[in-house]
Amino acid sequence: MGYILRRLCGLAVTLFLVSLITFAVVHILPGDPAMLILGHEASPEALAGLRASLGLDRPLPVQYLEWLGGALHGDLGQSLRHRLPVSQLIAERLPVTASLAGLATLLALALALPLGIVAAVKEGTALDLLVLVASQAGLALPAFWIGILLILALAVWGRMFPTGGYVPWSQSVAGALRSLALPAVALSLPMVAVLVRLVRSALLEELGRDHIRTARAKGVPERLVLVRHALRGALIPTVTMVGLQLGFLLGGSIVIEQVFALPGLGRLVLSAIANRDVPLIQGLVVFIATLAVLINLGVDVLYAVLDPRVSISK
Amino acid sequence: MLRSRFALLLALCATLVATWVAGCRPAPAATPQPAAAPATGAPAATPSPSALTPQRGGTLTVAVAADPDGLDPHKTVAAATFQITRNIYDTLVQTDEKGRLVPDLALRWAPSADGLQWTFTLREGVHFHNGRLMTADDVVYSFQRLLSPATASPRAKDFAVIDSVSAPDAKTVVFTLKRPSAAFLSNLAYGWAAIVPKEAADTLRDHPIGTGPFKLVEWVKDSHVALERFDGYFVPGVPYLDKVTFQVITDPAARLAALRTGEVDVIPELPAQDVAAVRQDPGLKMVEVPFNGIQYIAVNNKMPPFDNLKVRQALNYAVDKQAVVDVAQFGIGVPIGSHMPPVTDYYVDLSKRYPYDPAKAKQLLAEAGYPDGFETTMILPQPYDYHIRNGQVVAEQLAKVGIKVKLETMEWGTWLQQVYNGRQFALTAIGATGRLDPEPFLSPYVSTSAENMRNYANKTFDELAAQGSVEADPAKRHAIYAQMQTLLADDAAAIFLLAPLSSVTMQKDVQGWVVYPIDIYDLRTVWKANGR
Repeated sequence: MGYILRRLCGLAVTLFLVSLITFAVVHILPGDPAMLILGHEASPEALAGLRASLGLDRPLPVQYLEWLGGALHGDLGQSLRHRLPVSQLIAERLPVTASLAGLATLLALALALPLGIVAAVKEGTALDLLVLVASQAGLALPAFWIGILLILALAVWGRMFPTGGYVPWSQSVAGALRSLALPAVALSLPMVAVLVRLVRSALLEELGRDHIRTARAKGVPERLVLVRHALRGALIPTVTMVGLQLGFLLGGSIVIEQVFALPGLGRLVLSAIANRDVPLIQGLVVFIATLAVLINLGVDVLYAVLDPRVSISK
Repeated sequence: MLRSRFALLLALCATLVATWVAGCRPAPAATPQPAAAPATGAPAATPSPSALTPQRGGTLTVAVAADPDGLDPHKTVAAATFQITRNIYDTLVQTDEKGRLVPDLALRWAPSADGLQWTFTLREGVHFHNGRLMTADDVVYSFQRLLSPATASPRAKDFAVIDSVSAPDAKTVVFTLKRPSAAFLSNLAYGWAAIVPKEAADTLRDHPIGTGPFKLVEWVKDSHVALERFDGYFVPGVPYLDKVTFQVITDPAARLAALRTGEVDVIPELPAQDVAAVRQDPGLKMVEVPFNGIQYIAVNNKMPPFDNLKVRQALNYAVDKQAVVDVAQFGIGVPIGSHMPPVTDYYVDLSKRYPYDPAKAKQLLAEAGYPDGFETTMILPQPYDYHIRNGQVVAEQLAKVGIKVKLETMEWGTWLQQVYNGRQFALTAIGATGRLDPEPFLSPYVSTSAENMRNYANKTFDELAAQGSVEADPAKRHAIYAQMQTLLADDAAAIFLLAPLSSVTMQKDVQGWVVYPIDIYDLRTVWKANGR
C-alpha cells in the first residue's frame, strides 16, 4: 500500500511539472488567442477588450497560479474558444476516444497473441516469416494512411462501413461499433505489429528456459507447457508493452480522429492548439498525463499479479 | 399551388433565381429597389421544367470543413459560422449571386439627399423561431448590440459609421450616419448584421433564434449542426427541405469518400486537386463558378531589395501565372493582374500588365543592381496547402532569373502574429476573400491602415481610397476603384497570381444550389429530385 501511495505522490509532482511546462511552452509559442478568435481584421480595441474579458491581460504568473488554484479544486477553467468549462468539454469527448482506444487495444490483443504464438511455435517456417514480414509492414505504414485505404476499400467500394462520423453508444450499440470499427482497425495495426514481434520473441525466450525443459521432461503435454508455463512468462513484457502503447494510442487517435471525423479528445487537442486555447490545452495535457501515469501504475500492479517474484509491498 | 409558391419564392429573390435557372441576366437596378415583381421572374423560369417543380421534403447533408465558432452572429468572424447561420438568421438586405443587393427583411430603402440618413421599410408579418413577431425595435436592438463595446463584436468597426438607429414606427427603421458611406448598404448584407431577438440574445451562441428559413435542432460540437424547416418562414412554401445537416469532416479525403458513398449530399468547396477525379465520376455533378477571392504572393514593399520598384516588377515578369494556375491549382482558376477578382463588378483586367518574360525580369534586376540575383525567404502558411503549392511554384520560377527563394512553412497562429501583425517577412503566399464592396477589399493597401502588412505606400492611392469611400455616383466610383487597381499593378505591390473557382460537388439529385459572392451556404432554393 505504501508503494501505491508513494507512486501517487509522484503523480502529483509529475502533474505539477507537466502543467508548468505546458503553460510555459504555450506562451513561448507565437500566436494571440484573441486574434485567432476575432480574426486578423479585428480592430485593436476589440482585441484588447477580448483579451481583458478572457483575463489574458494579467501577468503570466498570476494567470498560472489562478489556474493552479482552480485545478487543485478540480476546476480546470473555461475554454477561451468554446466558452465552456474545460472539464465539460473533456467529459463530452472522452467516451469517443476511450471507446476507440479500448476497441483498438482489444483488437490488437486478439490479433497479436495468436499470431505471435503461431510464429513462435512455428519458428523458422514460412508461416513465421509471413507474420514477421506483415508485422514489419504494420510498423512501417502510418495509421492515418491505413485509415484512408480502409475508407476507400470498405466504405467507398465495399459500402460496409460509414466513411466517418460517430454514433453514440446510447443511441445504437451496433451503430457505435460500425462507426468505430475502421478507425479502431487503423489505430490497432501498428500496435498489433509491435505486439506480435514481442509475443513471439518473449515466448521463444521463455520456451528455451530451464523450467520449460523440466516440464517437458516430466511429460507435460506440449499444449499445457505452452499455455500454463511459457505463455505466463511471456505475458509480463506484453503487459508492459500494452501499457506503453496506450500512450501511443492516445497520440495516434489525434490523427485517426481527423481522418474518420470522430469528435474525440484528439480533435479537441488539435483545435485547442491551433486556437491557442491555453486553458483547454492545459486541461487536456494534464488530463492525458494523469491517464498515462495511472496506466503505468496499473501496469506495475498487474506485474505483481502475473509475476510472483515482483511484490508491490517493497 | 406549387406554381403560386414558386412565384412567391421569386418575389423573395427574383433576380437570383431567374439568373441561375435560365441564365438570363436582368440589368442591375441603378437605384435600390425591392425585388422584381413575380411577373418579371415567372417567364424567365419557364424554359426549365425541372426548376418549375421543386419537390418538398427530404434531408440534405452538407459536408463542412470546420465546426462553427458559436452560432451568435454578432460575436465571431469564423467563416464556418456564417456558412451555416444564413439559414437561421436574416439580414435587412441580401446579395444575389451577382453581388447585387436585393430585399430580405427590408422591402425597400432610400438614402436622404445628403447621404446621411437611410430609411428602411420592413417586411411585415415576419416571425422569429420563438413565435414572436419581428418589429423595427428588433432591428434597432440588433444594431445597438452589434455596436455595443460590451458585445465586443469583431465586426463592429464595419458599422462604426452608424451614428444612431431609430424606429419611428413598427415597420420603419432610420439609420443616421456620421458621414456618407458608399459601402454602408452592402455591409448590411453580411451574416454578422443579422437581426436577432432581444429575449434570446444571451443564449444565441448555443441556441440561435432568428427569422430564417431553418431553425436549430441540435449542435453536437465537432460533429454536426442539424436544422429543420421553420414553418413560419415569411416566404410561404419555402424552404423545400425538411431537414439539413451540416456534417463536420475535417479531412478532405474523408469528405470526398463520404460524398461517394452517399453519406453526404454536397461538398460546397472541393479542393482543386480532387476536381479532375470528380469530373470523371458519373454518379456526381459539379457546379464550377468563379470564386470571389484571389490568391497572391505578398511582398514587403519596405524591405530591401523589394523597396525597389524594378525588383518588384522583375518578380512579376519572372512568374508565369498561367503555369501557377495549371501546376499549383490543377487548372482551376484564372490569372489576375491586381488585387480584385474577375467576378466583381469593379474588376479591371490587368492580367496582361506583366506578361511572362524572364529576360525582361533579368534586365530589370540588373538595372536595380542585382545582375546575379539575390537570396530571399518566402513564408508559407500551414495548413493552407493551396497557398503552399502557389509558393513552391513561384519559388521555382524565381530561381530561373537568379532569385533563390528559401521556403519556410509556418503554422497559421504564428503566421498571424509574425507576418500579418509583425510584418516580419520578405515574401509570403496568401489570399484575400472578396467583399460585396471594393472599399474594404482595397483599403488594406492604404498606407496608414493597420492591415497594410505589405507596407505599401502611395499618396495617390490613399487619396483615391478616401474619395471612393464617400462617392455616391456609381460611374465615378467605378472609375476610382479602376484607377486604384491600376496603381497597385503599376507599383507591382504584390505578385498577383490568380482567382480560383468554387467547385460545388453534389449528388445528381440535388437541385437549386446557388453560389454567392459571400461565404454562405443558402439552402432556401435547394431541393432533392427524389425527395429522400
